[in-house]
Amino acid sequence: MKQFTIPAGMRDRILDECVSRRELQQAIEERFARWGYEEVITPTIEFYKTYEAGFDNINEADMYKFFDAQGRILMLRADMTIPIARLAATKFKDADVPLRFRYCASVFKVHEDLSGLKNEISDCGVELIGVSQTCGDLEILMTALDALSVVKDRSWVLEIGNINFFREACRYFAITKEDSEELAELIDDKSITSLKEKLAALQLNEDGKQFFLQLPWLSGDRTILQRAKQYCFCKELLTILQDLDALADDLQALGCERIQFDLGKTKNLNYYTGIVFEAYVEGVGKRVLSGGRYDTLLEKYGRKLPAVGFSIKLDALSEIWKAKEPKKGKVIVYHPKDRVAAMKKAQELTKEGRVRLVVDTDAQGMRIKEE
Amino acid sequence: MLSIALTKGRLEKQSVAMFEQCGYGIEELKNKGRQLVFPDTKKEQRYFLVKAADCVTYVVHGVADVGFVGKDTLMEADGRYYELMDLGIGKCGFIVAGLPNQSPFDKRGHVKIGSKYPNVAREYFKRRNMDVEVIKIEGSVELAPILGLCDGIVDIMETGTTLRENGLVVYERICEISARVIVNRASFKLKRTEILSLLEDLQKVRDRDVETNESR
Repeated sequence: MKQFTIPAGMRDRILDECVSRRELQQAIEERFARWGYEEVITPTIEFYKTYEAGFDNINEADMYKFFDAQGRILMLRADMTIPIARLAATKFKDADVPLRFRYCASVFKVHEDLSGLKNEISDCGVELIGVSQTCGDLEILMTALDALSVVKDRSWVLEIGNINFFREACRYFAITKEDSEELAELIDDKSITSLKEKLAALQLNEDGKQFFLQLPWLSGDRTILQRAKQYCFCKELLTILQDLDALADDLQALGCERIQFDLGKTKNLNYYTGIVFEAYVEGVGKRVLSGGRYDTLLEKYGRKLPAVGFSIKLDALSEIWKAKEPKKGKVIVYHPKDRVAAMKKAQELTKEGRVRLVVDTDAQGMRIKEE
Repeated sequence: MLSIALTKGRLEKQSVAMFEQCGYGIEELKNKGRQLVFPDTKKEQRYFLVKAADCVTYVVHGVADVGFVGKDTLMEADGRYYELMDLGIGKCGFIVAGLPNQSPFDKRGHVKIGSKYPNVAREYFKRRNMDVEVIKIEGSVELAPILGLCDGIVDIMETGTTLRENGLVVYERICEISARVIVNRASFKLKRTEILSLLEDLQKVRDRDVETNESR
């Protein structure tokens, strides 16, 4: 017998799954649209070099790659920010800013077999291009909070950090790129023991050691911003805390709850250039939203503009999304000889709601009943 | 409610002992029958016993909020989680061993390394800038170089007795290993207070143990 299966990390979505997913997507997209974001659809396949230009250290093994007829390397898009950065810097190179784009698309990454991770992920997100830090950050966070408010009856939290807090400290101590990447990973994973070992090997002074050791623990409500002050050793670090504090003030003035801070968010060091944020929902083990500021990305594609954005992980969030009960429809049972009359009736009834046709050779004429 | 995944076997007894010293209600965990999930009788938490590698999987997927697992398993597994604490139990090390006077590091040609931990082995030799072929072996790894399947092994070593008895020598100590507390990333945000208080309790017990060991 022939066997037909799907590749590892892929999945079929059927019936109810599609309904709840579609509903969730529409609810989110509607919020995005109301904040003035316009939809863009970019190709599923991009040139590998487009991604290579965007990321400083692209993890080659994570990408689905293949060749075109000229031998150029193609890949399935691994995220949506790079294609949109490319788009904004080329098709919109003379357009007035700000640009507000939204998208909902599958992105692809190769994960190890049997790890339970998906290789095709649906991202639903926005990019705000051309508005710098203070105003742009606040606007994007308000959009994120509004989008997250589609989650009902479950607790969730939006956590904000600023990657420059870590980056400035590395610069101050002149830590090499390689070492800072390793440190960033350990801090982001809150891998305390290995972090201690790494710091011992780096031979920093006591201030520096304490600073990096504390970073993983500087997470919680806004009081951590105060607590973090004691570990700062230069004015750049204090400025970052002040900016975050001002942001917390703004959010508080707007009545936003469920905001937390984490200064130990250090992932994607070569990509983000300011705030970074993630959201978690009770009952979902993975983050459901992630984003941040990336002010140096667009210039790599030819137009220097600040930008900030985020995406919602549709797959993760749809796990807990309860679809609305669908409205009951009508069923038309008919004998094959009455097919024209049945179709005519169906045509009429579909204007009002759902119709299901049932052929029954034993039926006497045509019968309409509730579903 | 916190769900805690414990690694069966070697680490089990010691982790249960730590909970006992924390003063938790672990009667059910100590007198386990056929049951798979053990509720704490004093605290809002429950335990379950799983194989080491599964412990990581449960935590990564958020089915367990917290896991107790050896660093060896963490190094071999893939996945994102927070690794918040060294429990100071289950101490051993990763080593490279081989037959006497036949160091895999001195061999010029094609080098074959047998291991139960192929990812750890591959990563280690990559860092040393050495091309090696890694062969996955499920058990009794010591046998492989003796029978000529490979030039060396990467394995965990506690006392070194097994290696010595099989006439193997240690050529390199890769790193130290001990049991760690891992935490699901989402749980850490949403159940921060419970998790931090658990860590605090464990830390007290661990530090007390360290002190008593030192004073002995």
